[in-house]
Amino acid sequence: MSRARAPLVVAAARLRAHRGRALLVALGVSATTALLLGVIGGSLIARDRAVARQLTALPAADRSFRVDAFGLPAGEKYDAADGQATAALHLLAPGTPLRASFFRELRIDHELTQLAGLDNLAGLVVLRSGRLPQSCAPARCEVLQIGAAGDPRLDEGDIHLVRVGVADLRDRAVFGTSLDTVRIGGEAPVLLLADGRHVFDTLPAFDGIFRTYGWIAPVDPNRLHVWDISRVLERETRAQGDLARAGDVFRLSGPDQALLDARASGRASAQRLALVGGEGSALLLGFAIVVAVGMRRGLANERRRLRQRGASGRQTFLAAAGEIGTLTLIGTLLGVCLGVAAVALLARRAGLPAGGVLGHSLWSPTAVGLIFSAWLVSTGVLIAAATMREGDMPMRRLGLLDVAALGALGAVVLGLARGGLDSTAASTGGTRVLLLLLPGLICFVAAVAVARLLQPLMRLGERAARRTSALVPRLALLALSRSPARTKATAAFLVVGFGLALFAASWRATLERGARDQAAFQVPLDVTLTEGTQLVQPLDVASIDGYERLAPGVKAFPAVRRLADVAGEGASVASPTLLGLPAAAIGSLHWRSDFSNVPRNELARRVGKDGPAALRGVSTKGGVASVRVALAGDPVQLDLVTLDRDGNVGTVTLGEHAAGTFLATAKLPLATTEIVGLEISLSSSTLLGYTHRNAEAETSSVPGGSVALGRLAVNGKKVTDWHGFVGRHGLQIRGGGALRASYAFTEGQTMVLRLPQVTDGRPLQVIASPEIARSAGPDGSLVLDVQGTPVPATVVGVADRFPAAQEQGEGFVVADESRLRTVLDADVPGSGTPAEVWLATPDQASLDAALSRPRFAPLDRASRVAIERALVSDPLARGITIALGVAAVLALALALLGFWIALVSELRDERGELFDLEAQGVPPRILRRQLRVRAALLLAFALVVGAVLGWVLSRLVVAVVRSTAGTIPADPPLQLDLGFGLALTAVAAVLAGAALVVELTTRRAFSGSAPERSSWSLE
Amino acid sequence: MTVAVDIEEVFVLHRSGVRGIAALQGLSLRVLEGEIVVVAGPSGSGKTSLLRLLAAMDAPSAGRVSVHGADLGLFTAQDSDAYRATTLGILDQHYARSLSPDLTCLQSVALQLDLAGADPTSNREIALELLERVGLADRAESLPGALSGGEQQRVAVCAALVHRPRLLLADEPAGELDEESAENVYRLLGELVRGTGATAVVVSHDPASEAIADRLVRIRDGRVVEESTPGSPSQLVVGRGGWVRIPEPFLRDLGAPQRLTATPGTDSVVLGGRGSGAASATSVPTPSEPVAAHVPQINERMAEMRAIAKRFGDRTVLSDFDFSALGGRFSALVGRSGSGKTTVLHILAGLELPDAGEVVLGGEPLHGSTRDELAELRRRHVALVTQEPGLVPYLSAFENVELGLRLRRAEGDLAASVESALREVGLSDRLHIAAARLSAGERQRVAIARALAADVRLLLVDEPTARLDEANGRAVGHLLAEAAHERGLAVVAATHDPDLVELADKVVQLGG
Repeated sequence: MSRARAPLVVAAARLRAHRGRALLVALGVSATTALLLGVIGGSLIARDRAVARQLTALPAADRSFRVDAFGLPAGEKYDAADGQATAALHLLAPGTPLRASFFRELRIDHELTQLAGLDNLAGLVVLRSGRLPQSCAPARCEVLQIGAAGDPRLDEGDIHLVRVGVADLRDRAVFGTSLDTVRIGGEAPVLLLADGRHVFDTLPAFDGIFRTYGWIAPVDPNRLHVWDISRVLERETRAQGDLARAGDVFRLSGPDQALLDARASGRASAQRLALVGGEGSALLLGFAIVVAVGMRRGLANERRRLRQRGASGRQTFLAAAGEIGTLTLIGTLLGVCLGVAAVALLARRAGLPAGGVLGHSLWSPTAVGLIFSAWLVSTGVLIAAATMREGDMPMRRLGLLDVAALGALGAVVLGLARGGLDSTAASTGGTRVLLLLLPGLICFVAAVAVARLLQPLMRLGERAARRTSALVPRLALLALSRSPARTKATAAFLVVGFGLALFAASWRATLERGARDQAAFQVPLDVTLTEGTQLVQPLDVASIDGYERLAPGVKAFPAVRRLADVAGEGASVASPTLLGLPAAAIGSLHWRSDFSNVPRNELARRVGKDGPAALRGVSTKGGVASVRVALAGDPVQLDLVTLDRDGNVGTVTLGEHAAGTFLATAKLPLATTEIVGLEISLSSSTLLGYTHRNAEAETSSVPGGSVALGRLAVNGKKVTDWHGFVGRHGLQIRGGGALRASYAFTEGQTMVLRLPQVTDGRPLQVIASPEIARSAGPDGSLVLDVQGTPVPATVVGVADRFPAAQEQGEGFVVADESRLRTVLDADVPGSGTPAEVWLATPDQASLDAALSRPRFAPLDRASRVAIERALVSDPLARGITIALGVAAVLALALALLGFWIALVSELRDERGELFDLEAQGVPPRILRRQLRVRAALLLAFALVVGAVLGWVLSRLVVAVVRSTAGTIPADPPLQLDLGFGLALTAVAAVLAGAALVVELTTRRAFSGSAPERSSWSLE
Repeated sequence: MTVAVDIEEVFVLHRSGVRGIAALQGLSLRVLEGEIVVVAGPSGSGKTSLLRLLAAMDAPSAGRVSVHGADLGLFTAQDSDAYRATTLGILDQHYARSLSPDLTCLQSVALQLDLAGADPTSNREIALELLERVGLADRAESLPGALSGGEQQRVAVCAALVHRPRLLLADEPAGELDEESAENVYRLLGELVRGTGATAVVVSHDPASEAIADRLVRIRDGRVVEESTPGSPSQLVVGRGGWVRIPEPFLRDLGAPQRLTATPGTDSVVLGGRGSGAASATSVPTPSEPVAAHVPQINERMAEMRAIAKRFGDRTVLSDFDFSALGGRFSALVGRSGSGKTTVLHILAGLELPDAGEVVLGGEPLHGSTRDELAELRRRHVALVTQEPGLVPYLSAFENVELGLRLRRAEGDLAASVESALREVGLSDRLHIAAARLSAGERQRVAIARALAADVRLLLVDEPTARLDEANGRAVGHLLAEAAHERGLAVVAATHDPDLVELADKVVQLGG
């Protein structure tokens, strides 16, 4: 031990003497350590916010732990059950649970009621009239009515309820379905609430009436933290066991799935952030090596002195290790302080308890182990680099580093080849260590490759420079190639620094683009309107023209969406989504070149090649339509198919008729512009019998008959005599003056009498997904079965993906909307009606404002911008993008710092060479210029190779990690975005910083009146 | 008396370039316990190799080295560490390299005791006592940088002797000190060594070292060739097998014969010359036609120093110094290490600015010139060959010389100039071998070729024969003399080499 003191004294003295360098090194190490810690802490914060967000998004009823008791355990009083339920919930959520008792619907005094007793009623309701209940006794039990008022008293037998007020519930959802009132026989029950969960237990009249008891403990999303999830789930298991032992009447429920999902996505996110951490580690090592190489000469001199004094190998090692270890330790400790402060600040800004966040992130055994390992590894690498001699990396033989690099490369290749880095691992939180090591491994390989290739490259460059008269570049190249170790270390670090910066920036840009793409894939234009819960369709609210008038520049496109069946692989049947879109809309979609080999506009052209189509009918206007019908056979229902001025297809019934001759009439709506045809279907009574017999597998005769139609008139004016009309679905037209047709309802179908349509006999031109296109014939033809209607189509284009067309996962077929609509309406009138409207706008705000009007409220509205905003603002996504941004900036800053250290070291170590050059008559201005060119060459080399490294890293990571920033699988898959704008800005910043550093350093280096003497060592 | 150091027929071979170098070639030396032996010899004769061998830093390629009975050739790395820690004291020529700039004087002196694991308090007391003895107790807590050169070397002496080593190895211990400081250091060294009963092997060219020597040993070409005691004439050493080196002047007087006759006398051996022609080592270059087109007038004043004064810190190196570098003349600057030889060369080249006095180069006064202007003057007028020329290791000899010409913006048929210059220095067969693969001597000759090819008027060379064997050293000396005499260059060489001095037209003694 006593022999260890002297080397440590030497180390301490060197540290004291070189405070500036020590500070620089410590700052570099601390910045990277702080990044690592920031990633760990930030990851926890992001995961916590994600959990909160996920919980907040849950319906209120699901956002609570709840114990329900279906009656009381046998022989037990309420208080005992209350104790057990409360104790169970106390394990899961702090505070007193909301207690309640619920009755099923009861008819009291001829009124359908639903009774409940709630604790703290005053806090749960907003009084509209009257007052709150104050007492409940057998003779008079005061209750509060929710909703409309009724008679004050409800008396039946021994039940005497008195309504003392009317109120609304503040948050009905918290009770889940317990307070939902269900209509019985068209009558809605009246909800009556008493103050106190067990007041009805005190009324003998209610004895024997079944009731349930509820204890509800709402979860505060901001108080249930990610680090609590495992503990909460464990406690929930325990609570469930306790309740099961207490009685079989209890049932415990909670937001388990949401918590499990949040935990899983949080883990995936943590792994993603660990990639950034891996990047930080690689930077730390790179920076350490550059610093170490800069220290090498000083350490070598000190080692020589110590060896002269008889120091053993261990003692000289201890001196180096003491100095370097202290530097890295100071840096690490400083980094820990910075990291803690940063995480605490982030936690505070996120409204989280800093102590909790720090305790579960930075003080966790994993984090402490990680930091300790980072310190240990950086110190080890620094010592190795600082004490390695120049000849330790022989040019023509494989050295230790080469073998290690080859090993790393092999590991990466093997991992990729074996699928060890698949997307599942990244998106489901699988522990794939290789994925986390990927940036570090690739950077290491790149660094060794750079170290290997730099010298030959510079020598080649120097040889090329000889052919020119340019002296300065040649001197610069000579200098670069004559000091290999330092140059290699600097170049390798710059390459790694730039590469990682670009990787971080491009991955960030890729994730941001991924959010945009994902939003645009869901909402291909700006807004998509669909049918809402009230079953109102967008075209019921406004016409296409009406939508286009909502705001200036708005383009509205109707979209038809159906499911079709098509022959699949082997004997299977695929059910692709059949999407009908106007060809013009296809040309306006947010599109990505990887969706199809065929450009979007070409696809649009091909789909719309046959031009738009419209349902063809006979012109008319609103009024009374009449037609003389002679019917023989089974009774039928007759409906006129109409078209209104907005192009909507409708039916107007002519009624059900039995055999005979009659005048069928109907009133056409005023907006009617055309009569498209006539539908003939089984009358409801015939249909019922037919269906019943089919269900009972009875053999029966097919209903059928014949019909003769006279001319169709509206308001007495002839509209058509059915000339040229054709029958569909089994309706056989026979010639003659009036139209005669026979019908046979072989499948209970609806028959249609209509004019021939432009789409008849012409297949739809469609874009299909590859698997659907494969099932097409050689000429691309296929037949789509749309709910029994065969729709012939020809595949005119194949796309791997199509926005908003892949919800079934069984491929897609996209056709021109007007033609698809016509085809469908021609066969089954009304079946082609668009259920979606896609809107494009140059002014999203105006459109949003217009769509916020009450008339559009029944519609579901999906906004591309809103989806993108939600994706980007996802805490996990934000955490990752912020971390990547910080990593990119840090990588560039460290690269600049390393560059500066290397420059200063070069000037110090090359005094001899520079002296020799000046002695030969090379003026300082040329030497300065040489240094500038040299720095520029090094930077240019590093920027180019770094860009390649960044690109490779980004490609690999993007190919491997297929989930979005929010850790859900990306659809469409992420596409690499190099973020050129940001990258160019960063390059400009780096170049400006480097130019400043070079200028300051070189000016100072040659500022003396005479060159420094060379300090040659003969050893 | 007990033998402290016993070296028998030791060879040390270093890999250098493609040929390798024999640094020691059958050196034998025996040093008695308590004896102080001063070793002299020109640069490259093997002095440093001898010290490294005794310090167990290099192992002998052949032969045996024992110190106090321990065979150093059998040492493991741990043995060597222990040996240096306990038995050896090492004193370097460069105090700046001996003392860590970051440790205080007291820490530096106590370091070896601390490394041995002795009690720190006691170590400090011992170190302080030693510093008191050399008059530096008041500087104990100072860093070396705050001390003068002499003071630093005194601290280094204390550091080398603090653990009372049995053998002290000193390499030019006053090499960077002024005369007074040098005398002080040697006196101190003598006192301390004698006071501790240690044995010392001191490499020195400094006459002041004789004052403490029991025996003076001279080395040439890796062998001990002469030996004497202070005040007595030196004797030739007869090596094993009867090898004797005849001093150069004797041979020159005989007409540098290639063969001699030896006739036994009663108590002498008479050597007689027979045959003719100067001895010519295979590697000695044969000058060819001059490279330079410009042949200046003999005695033209190429550079001049008038009343030059120069100090480094508190050390005066030059005072009221005058010197002229004349065309067609070969001047030798001699003096012990640190006497200012290199400084004179640098001042002449405008690489060092004097504190006082005037320097004229190529007829232009240097005073007031910027560094860029000085560099331009050098480019046109001066070639400087430093001790460690800055050759690019991976460039061939040809490419290095060609690069030198490019730096000087030379025009014309550069390839011819380069080849001619390299032929002049005897390297025509090694044109395309990388500098890194050439021996130290060959690299030195490449540097001289680069200077000769430069077509300048003033050739400054710093220790041109350092690390060359005798034959190559002589060849280089002739080359420089020819450059002066036949091409009319003003050649100024800083040297310790008596053979080179012999060839000089003018010898300037520095440092008194």
